[in-house]
Amino acid sequence: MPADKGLIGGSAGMLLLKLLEERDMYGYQMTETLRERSNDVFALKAGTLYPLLHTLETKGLVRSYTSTAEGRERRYYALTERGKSHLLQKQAEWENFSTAVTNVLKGGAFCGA
Amino acid sequence: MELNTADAYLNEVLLHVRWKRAHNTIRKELSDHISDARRGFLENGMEEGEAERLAVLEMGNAAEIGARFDAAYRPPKNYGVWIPFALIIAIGLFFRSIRAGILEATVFTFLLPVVFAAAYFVPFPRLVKFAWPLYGVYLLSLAATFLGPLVGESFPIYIYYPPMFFPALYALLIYKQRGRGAIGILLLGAALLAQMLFYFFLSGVLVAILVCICVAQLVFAVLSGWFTCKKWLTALILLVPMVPYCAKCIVAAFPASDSMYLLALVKDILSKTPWFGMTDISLFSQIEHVYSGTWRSVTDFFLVFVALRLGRIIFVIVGGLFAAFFAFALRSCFKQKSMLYRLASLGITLHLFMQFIGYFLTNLGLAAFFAYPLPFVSDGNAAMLCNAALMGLLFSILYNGALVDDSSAKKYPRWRLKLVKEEM
Repeated sequence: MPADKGLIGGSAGMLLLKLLEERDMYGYQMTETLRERSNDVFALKAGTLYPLLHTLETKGLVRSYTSTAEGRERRYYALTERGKSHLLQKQAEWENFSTAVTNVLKGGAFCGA
Repeated sequence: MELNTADAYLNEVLLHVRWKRAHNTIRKELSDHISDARRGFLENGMEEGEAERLAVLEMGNAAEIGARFDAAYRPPKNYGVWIPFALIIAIGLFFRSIRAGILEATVFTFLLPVVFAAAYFVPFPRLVKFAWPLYGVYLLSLAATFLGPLVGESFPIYIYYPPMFFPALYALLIYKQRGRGAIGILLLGAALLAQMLFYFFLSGVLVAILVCICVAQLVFAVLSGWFTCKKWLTALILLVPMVPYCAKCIVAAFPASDSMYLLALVKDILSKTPWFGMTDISLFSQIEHVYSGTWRSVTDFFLVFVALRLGRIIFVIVGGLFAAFFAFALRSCFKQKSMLYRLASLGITLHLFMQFIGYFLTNLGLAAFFAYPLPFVSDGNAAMLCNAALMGLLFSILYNGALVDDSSAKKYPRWRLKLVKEEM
């Protein structure tokens, strides 16, 4: 089941950076990989993907270059050093946030007190 | 409205993106995405028309994506460069209107933007293809300046102007030769030396400054790995002969305070000038006397000329404006993604900076850079138009730099490509 847009919105950038941490990819490859890995939960539309990639590039978190794959010239994206440190920071923030949400949803330690 | 065909969809997206220069990049990328998606549907047994319809549908709302691209692709405003530049132009035109009359000021008010706009719209990256023919034209233009003495000039005075464009041209040549190893570097060295054969009439300082800028561009490209050779060793080989030569020539422009009468005179005049307000303007006649006339003295010592009328504060105002302009321009140069743009913008900015610093120090009586104008402020119509063209090129680079990225365009020699393929 695809996730609510609002839930993906804030973390889409982080997910893309994570994908690029493994290897350079072009846009379509990213949407497909994201869809496969999340069991169709993250179906990122091109309308969200490309403007986001271009914004990440403007911020210097990714860089793009053209390269030929399967006989066609494609625009690949790669993670920059700045992007790597940004990803680490976002991952840490996300882990704190998700732990907090999970604790609240489970009715964690403080709720029973 | 359902947009079935890819073209109609892309046109709808681009309708919402105001920066036209980003259109090709966006169109190509989205069109590739649609093709990939369509191919995926076709492989799943879908019919052509249906596959395209679904591929487009999956893209999302055209207006929404267009608006997002529009937000992502806002051209850089560069106010930090524009505002000081506009103020410098305004000051220059104001003084010109007082000194040369309203007619000449009006002519230049119209000519400056024409030349600036013409240079601004030059498709600079496309000139790479014509880098060597352009170098040929450059050499011819240098040779043509020697026609001056044949028609009555005392020496080829126009020899000053073509070299103003050389750093931009050299950036094109470096880009063209990238990946050609030692042969490429040798050719670039030969190109630099060959044009210097025409510089009999240029002062050693001017030649040294030009060489410094070009060698800096070349070293920058070498250190960025553009010549498939040992970076540091090559940089060292380039710098070792150049640094002492350039240092010697530039140091020569800073004579001991009493060794040059003119500079001592300028210092003396400035010491008698208050920070604000008019002083005895007849003091300037001492400089005119050295020049045996008025025209060149005002051209070379324009800031002193104005300081006698407005006070030494003019040095602070003009110096501050130029310093602000160069600080922001240099910052923007280093932000360029494209190596070609970075080399060209750095070359142009450094050349404009050298003009400013040379003129400024000379007017303070600290150095002897007599041939340089103060860009857009001091006299010199041809120099002003050349600077307008350089500035147009610089602003075009700073404005469009976000769209040009040649980081993947490193060229490698065939033997190395073969090795890379074998490794794969």
